[in-house]
Amino acid sequence: MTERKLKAWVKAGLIDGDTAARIRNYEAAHARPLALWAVVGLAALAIGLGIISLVAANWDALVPQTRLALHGILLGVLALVLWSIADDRGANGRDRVSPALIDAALLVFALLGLAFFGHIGQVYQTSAPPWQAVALWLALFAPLLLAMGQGWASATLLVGGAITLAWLRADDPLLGTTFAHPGTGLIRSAAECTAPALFMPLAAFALRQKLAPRSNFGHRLSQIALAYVLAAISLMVIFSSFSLWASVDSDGTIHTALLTLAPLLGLAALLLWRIDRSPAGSANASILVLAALAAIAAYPLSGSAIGAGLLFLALWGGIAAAALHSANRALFQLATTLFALRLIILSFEATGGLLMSGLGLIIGGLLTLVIAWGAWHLSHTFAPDRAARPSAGETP
Amino acid sequence: MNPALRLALLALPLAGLGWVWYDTAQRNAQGIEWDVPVTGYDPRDLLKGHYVQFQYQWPVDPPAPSLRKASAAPALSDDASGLCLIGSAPVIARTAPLGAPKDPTAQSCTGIARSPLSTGQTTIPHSGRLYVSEAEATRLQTALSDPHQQATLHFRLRPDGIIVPISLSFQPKR
Repeated sequence: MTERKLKAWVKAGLIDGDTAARIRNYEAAHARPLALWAVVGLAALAIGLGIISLVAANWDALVPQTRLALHGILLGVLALVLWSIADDRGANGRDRVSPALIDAALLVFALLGLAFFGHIGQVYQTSAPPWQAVALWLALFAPLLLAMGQGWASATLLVGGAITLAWLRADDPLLGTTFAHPGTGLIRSAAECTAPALFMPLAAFALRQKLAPRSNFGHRLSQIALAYVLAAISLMVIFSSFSLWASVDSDGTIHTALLTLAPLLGLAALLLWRIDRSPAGSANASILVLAALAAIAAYPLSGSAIGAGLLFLALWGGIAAAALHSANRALFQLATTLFALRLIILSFEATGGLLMSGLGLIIGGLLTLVIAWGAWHLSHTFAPDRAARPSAGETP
Repeated sequence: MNPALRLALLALPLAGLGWVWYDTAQRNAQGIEWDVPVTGYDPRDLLKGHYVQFQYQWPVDPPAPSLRKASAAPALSDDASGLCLIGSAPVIARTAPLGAPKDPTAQSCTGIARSPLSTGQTTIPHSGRLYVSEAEATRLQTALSDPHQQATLHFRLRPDGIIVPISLSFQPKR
């Protein structure tokens, strides 16, 4: 393909014959035996698949302890692979292994580790609650993920593991609370479910320590934790419009639980602000403060469609302002879109009585058009430049 | 990264998982093995994932005739902290609910079965589950739903009262 292009470029006068010759020489010197690699890869794949299907076909015939031992050996082999590829100084003059490959190996290693708990549960018929396995898994794998994580995969595993642990514990009758019947464990649960927000100051701390080759991992940790906080608080505000929480909260447990969110989010904001004074850091800290305020306001406003709607608008309006401050284009556009959608719903709620009439429908439709146009205009006029901030894929 | 630290970080999960395996195997190896009749948990959904779910039919003490027809569950109230098993393993001659956790009658029990209720509290085990392979699941489901067959669970009673299911067997009902 290169030869055909080169001839075309020489013909079009884009490059001269000498340049074309130099390119040919360079390509010849740097040619990689792709076909050979493909054949070797295919053979390795065939052998691997063959072994897997042999084991799978006889899986039930194996003694359970042998199965567990095979699982353990697989984990050991992966640990060896990780040991050899995670040498970030590029020993023996080798090229450094790509971060994506290290992250993929970490992902497989950690997931196989999690599956080991399930495997033990099957072999020994254990009946322990699932959160205990997740807690132990986090204790064993979190140090590794924190120290060697490179990007999306390990950051998702780490923050996702912490979030899963908190929510599994929130729905365990043995711990005194379930989603269907909130009990005495609700306050503890609320605090635990808020704790993943602390990954934001943690990531900021790691980034300040200038762990340069892994700054991508730090940004991912922070982004996932922020996304979790925003999703959880937004859902809570949306749910608050459905019913008056005070009416099902005779002993005030739900109110206390909601009030415990605020100081924890505030603590995360304070730590983040102390560690990271950049526009992005202070914007994220103020978003956490907004989330804390929304958690306090949701309870008294619950049951009121208009009140909860205004709270949602205030929350996402504030987030849009913070995104402008930190020149975060994606977050700004998300915030304006959500703001506009909620405003449209609110306008229909406000004109609810009129909706029965033709006039109400016309007013509602016109309002929708105005809001949609305004939001589109706003998000394109004021959105920070794409180049203003390192985008998702880059590592500054 | 410091090679010693890297080694420690990679060894921690392996050592931890190894310990979990050893600890679980140790704990499950202790205790006495018993047999108890069981019945399908929910006729519409006997299998949940790869688990066969069932309810225990503990022989109630005293064996009042009226209770034989009804389910055994009402006699074994949730107020009890556990179930006293009396008999010569693996045959359970009779059972009796235990009151307070320090019930003096516990002295005469051959074994005590407990099911965790909430922190520090236990109750009588009413239902359990057994992990089975995909091939065996269909056979067990058919057998459990057969009204002419009585299913019996062979289990190990751990010293802490937790039931570890081992296998299901079927006999024609008399």
